[in-house]
Amino acid sequence: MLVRATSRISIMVIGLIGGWSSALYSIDAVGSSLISDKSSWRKWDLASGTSSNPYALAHFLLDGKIPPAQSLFDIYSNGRDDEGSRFSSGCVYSISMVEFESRWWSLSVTPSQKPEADSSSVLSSDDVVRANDGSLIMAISAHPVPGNWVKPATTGNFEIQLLISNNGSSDATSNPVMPTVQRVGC
Amino acid sequence: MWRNVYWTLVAAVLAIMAHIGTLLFAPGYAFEQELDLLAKDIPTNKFFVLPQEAQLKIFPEYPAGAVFGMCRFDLSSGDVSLEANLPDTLWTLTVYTSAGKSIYTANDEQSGIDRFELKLMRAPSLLELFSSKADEDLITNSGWRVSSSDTRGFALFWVPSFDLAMRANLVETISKSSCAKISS
Repeated sequence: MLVRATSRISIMVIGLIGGWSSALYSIDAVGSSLISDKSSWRKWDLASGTSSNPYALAHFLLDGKIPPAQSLFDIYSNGRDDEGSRFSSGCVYSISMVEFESRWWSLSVTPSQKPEADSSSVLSSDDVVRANDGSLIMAISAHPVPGNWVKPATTGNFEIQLLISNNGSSDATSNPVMPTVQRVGC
Repeated sequence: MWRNVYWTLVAAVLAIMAHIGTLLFAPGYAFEQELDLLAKDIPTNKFFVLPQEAQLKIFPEYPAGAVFGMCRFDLSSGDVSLEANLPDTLWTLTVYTSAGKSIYTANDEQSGIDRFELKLMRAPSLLELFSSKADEDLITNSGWRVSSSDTRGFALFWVPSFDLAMRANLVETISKSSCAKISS
């Protein structure tokens, strides 16, 4: 009798833990999608009414962050360089891009683990220096680098987040050409 | 045999409930706890500029010089009026439910003005909808009026600043905004 009750309770606990862990596992996989097969940039789908929306919302809210409204901003994240290696604060990276057709954007470097306060470094469209042709290069490095420079605030692996203001009317804004991220050295 | 099938189904139903619960309720609850902690001294229906420490934690994607103004509203005892006073520059306004879902957005280009009043109202229940006469129907979510099915939520202004030195001026301008329950 006791054995039977124990096994039934175990089955229920397994069900609950399985549902909970599958939800946590699905948040990143369902809430965001790769923008193309050749790119490691993921776009978070925060549009209302989509099946991926609850997962994308959960990604932000569980970290204590307010998700941007998709009608105002598009948000992308990337945890790997163009070679497919995870970003590490011990390496130097070069980010090349052409200016987005948006009014404002920011590029932030956040730890892969749950970020603490003050643990992000940010460059925005207001801060960067551009070339005459509108292209720009940024460096991610723990040590100072001339030009546009972002310093990871903590050691270990990190992710890049790109927030682009979206006026909802331009294809170029909703499908921007994403930056390339190359590892320069470690 | 059938007993095993039954308990497997029970486990599957519990797994689905836990999956849905984790996605739909846990994030909103966790976020509200976080917000309570970060803005614990700020009463509801009152406009405030988010302290920089809280801002860096909630909005790590934005530069430290940006300014966020917030009103945590509670519509359970009546409508709330949000009077915005914003600088003549890029800004956005987003109204969220307490679960973090955005229900209304606007920016400086769409609005064309930097000073306006936004009325936050509780959405009528199904019963109220059926019992109201046709000519009593209100046009909601249009113009400067937002109706929310969730009685609690928050309205959020964001204004970027080109450098930290500009922040104090922006804070001064945005601080003239207000948020208050409309007395009936």
